Amino acid sequence: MAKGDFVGEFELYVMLAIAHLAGEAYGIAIRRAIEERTGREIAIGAVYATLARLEEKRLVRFSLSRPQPVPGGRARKIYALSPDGKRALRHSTTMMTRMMAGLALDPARPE
Amino acid sequence: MRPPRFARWCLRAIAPADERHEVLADLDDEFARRAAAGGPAGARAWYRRQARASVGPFAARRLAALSPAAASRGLAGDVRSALRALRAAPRFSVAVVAMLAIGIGCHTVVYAVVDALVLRPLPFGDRSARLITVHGTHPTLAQDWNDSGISYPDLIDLRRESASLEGLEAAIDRNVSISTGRDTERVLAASVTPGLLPMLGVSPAIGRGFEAADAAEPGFEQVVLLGHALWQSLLGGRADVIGTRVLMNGRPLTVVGVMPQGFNFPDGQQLWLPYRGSETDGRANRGLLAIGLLRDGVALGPGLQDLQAVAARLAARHPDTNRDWSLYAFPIRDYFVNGADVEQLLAAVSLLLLAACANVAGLVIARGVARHRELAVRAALGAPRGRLVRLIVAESALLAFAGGVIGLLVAQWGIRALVAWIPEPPPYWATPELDVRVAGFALLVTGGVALLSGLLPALRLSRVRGTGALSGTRLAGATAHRRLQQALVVGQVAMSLVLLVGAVLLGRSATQLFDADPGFDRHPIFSARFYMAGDRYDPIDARAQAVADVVRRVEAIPGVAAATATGSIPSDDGGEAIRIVVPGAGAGADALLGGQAVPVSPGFWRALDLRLVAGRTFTASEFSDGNAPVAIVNRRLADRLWPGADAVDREIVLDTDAGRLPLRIVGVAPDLVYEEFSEETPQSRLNLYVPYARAGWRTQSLLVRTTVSPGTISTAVRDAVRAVDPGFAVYDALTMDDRRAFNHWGDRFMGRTFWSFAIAAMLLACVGAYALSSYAVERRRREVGVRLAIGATRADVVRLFTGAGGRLALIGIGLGLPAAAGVARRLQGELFRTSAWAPDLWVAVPSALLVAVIAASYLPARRAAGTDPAITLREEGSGLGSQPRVSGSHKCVNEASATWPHTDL
Repeated sequence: MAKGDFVGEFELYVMLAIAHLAGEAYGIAIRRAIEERTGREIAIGAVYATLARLEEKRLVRFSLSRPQPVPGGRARKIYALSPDGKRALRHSTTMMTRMMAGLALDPARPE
Repeated sequence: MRPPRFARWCLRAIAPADERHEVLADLDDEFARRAAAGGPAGARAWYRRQARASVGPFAARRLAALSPAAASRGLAGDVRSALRALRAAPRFSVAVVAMLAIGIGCHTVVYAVVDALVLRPLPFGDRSARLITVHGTHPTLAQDWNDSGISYPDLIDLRRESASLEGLEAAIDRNVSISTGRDTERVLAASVTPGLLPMLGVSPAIGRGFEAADAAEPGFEQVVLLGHALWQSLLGGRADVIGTRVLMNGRPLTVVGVMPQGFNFPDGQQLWLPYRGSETDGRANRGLLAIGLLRDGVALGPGLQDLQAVAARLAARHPDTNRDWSLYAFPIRDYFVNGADVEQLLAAVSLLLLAACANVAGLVIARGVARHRELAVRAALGAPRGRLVRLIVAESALLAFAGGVIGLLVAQWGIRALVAWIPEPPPYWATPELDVRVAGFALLVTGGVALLSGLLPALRLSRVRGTGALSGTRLAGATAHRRLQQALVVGQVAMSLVLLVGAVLLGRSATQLFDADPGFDRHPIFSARFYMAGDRYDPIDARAQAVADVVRRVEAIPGVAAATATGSIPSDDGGEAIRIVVPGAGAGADALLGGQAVPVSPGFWRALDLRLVAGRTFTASEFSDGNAPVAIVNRRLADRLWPGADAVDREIVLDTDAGRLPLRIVGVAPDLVYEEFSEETPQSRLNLYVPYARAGWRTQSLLVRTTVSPGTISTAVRDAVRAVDPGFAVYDALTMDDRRAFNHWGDRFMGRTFWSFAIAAMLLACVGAYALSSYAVERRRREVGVRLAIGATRADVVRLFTGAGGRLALIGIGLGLPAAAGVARRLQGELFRTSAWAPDLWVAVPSALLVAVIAASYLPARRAAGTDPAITLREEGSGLGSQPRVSGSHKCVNEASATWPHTDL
């Protein structure tokens, strides 16, 4: 896993969630998005760990949001896919669809 | 409704610092949502599950961050950004690297010397720490261990009766003349007991060492061990050298071995002869340097006690030769090295390095202040404090590393220059060099420098969190930064004071040593020694005749006013220790008084351009008569024995090993200095001059008073000595001025080195004060503008900043004074005719330092006073683009200044 162009399953989930959330992808939102779509309870620690790993691989990057408009509001790290990340995501999903072509499965296509 | 406390605590503890806040806040949000939607119990359970499931991944990441790979990745990043930052500030970088290179370089040079002399094990393997030298002590003897030996019969008894020694061997200096073609060369040799080399664990590189038989045969020595250098120069390094015969002191000796390269035991010897002792030798003939090897596990203290117990038994057994004689012993290293000097040097150079570190730390802070925006941005972007610390320390480490590398080059050059410059060769086993040990230590020092000069500022500067850092003009924590900078300047001033006081004391002492009066005008005097080798000179008459001939021939040299031969050169050598009987002092028993006897030729005082105080000098017949019962005392001895009375024609009685020896005083001589200056002893001040033949030494010293420059007659003197006998070797030929310089080069070296360190430290302190003052001026520009605008004079402004510098200097001086006093107290004992508490010193040095620091703060202050308040204030009003800061009053000042007539300011 996580070698070369391949990304791990959970890494793929996180990247896909970032893609879905477009501009609103911060820690807990990513967790929630994955939980909603998979129906599994996701640990926040796992999300952050994965984000850190993706960042290290330069597949995602973050910017700081403006502080939230509440008293004591903080800046959040908003994650986005880097060009490398987009390429890797496209690559992984394409490979998966190709691998599944002709099987009696009906995978929900991402995006 | 709050999330479960323990779970939250766990998460807080384990989450990485830069995510901790966000994670906890997100979970709190979600917890509140769930609690509102599904009730607190479900929300709590959910929170606990989240915590449980998250601890693992968080912990794994933190562990991974600790792994060396991750650390080095982080480090590489830090180093990269540090390099970028330093390239952007070349002047700063060069200044810091230069300062550190000099600091580390000097430190390494001194450490190399300390390492060679004190720290490195002696070249005797595991025995190095157990080797001691053993010396005879007597109440009338000065405690000058280099001159106090033991006798051969005592050595044999000690060997037999001491339980604490594994071995006890001996060496005694010998002069050997070797003919090399036309020239006769004097070589320093030693007669050694056959067991010495095995005890030291040293064996010859070629051939064999001495055997008991070599030392036992009657008559002259038959065999010789050559030093490596002599083997090369004399025999061309031939491999088949064993069995070769070489002519030494006119007799052929058989070479039995060649010692390994570098072996010059004990002190510069180039060849070794077997010592032929006999138990019937005189027990009072205490000329041997005894070298002992303590048994494994026996410490010096108990070993010495054991030796002294044996000495007490010997004194009881042989009262006529050993009464009152005891023994003293110490590690062999102390016989060769005065560790105190090098330790002082190391302390001084460490202070200098510390001052350099303080200075660099000050610069790093000043630079950090200038970079506070960058640091604040990094902090705002979530860089944890540790990361900022690492960044700043990485910069300092890079600078220190560069300083260390260049410092090593400086050190390599410095060590080479030092070794080439030292006029006196160090002990053969102690050549300072830049080896792995020294380089390793330099590396360690460099690391320390990086930490000292980087960590303190880094801890200080990294406290940039808070909104003020980004939004304001004033740096958050600026006061604290300033405090630290001030403290650094104070510390530098204190260190400078300590070094300056040490430098003045050692410098004054060295000057005194160079200028001290030996009792005669030394400037026109040339001196040399010669050695009369050969069987021909066994009869005392032959030696006396040769000495007289040499003096006559030397006096015939053009440009020579007078010449003489003597046993001891004043202000360089001591005389021979004697015991003078003071009759009737006390209850019946005669007291003994220690003194020194000096054999002289009749023309001694004329050659030194001196006149006897009373009486006459020796006659020619007394000069060559070994039994002439005459002597001349110096004035101090005369005053001591016959205060207020005429000493001439009185009798003085010596307590010799052969019994009482009465001598008639024929003259009283003016006082001269014997032993080197600063090494005088009570005994060396009481001199008894005897005719040459009474001592009959084969080594004589020539003192030649010239009417020309004394250095120019060196060759003529050599020729004159050789004309008497081509087998006489002339050595140690120096003008008396050069002799003084040679004897006290160490003192001058210490004085000069301390001076250069002290000046460097003072300059550093001034640079620090200058930087701090510049920074204060920069920071308070607006204030200065306002002050000038409302009527302050330039002098007021200058006073404002120089006053601040002066205050720091005073605090530094106040803190440094006790330390300087401690240094002065420690140095006092080794100062020559210099008081550590001279009032002028304690006024002048602090004043000079104060003036220097004030002057350094004055330069930026003058610049501040010269600024145009209108320009300053206008700049302030518009120069901070990012923040709209023009308040009402500010604008008011701005407008007022706009109408100010610039030219008048």
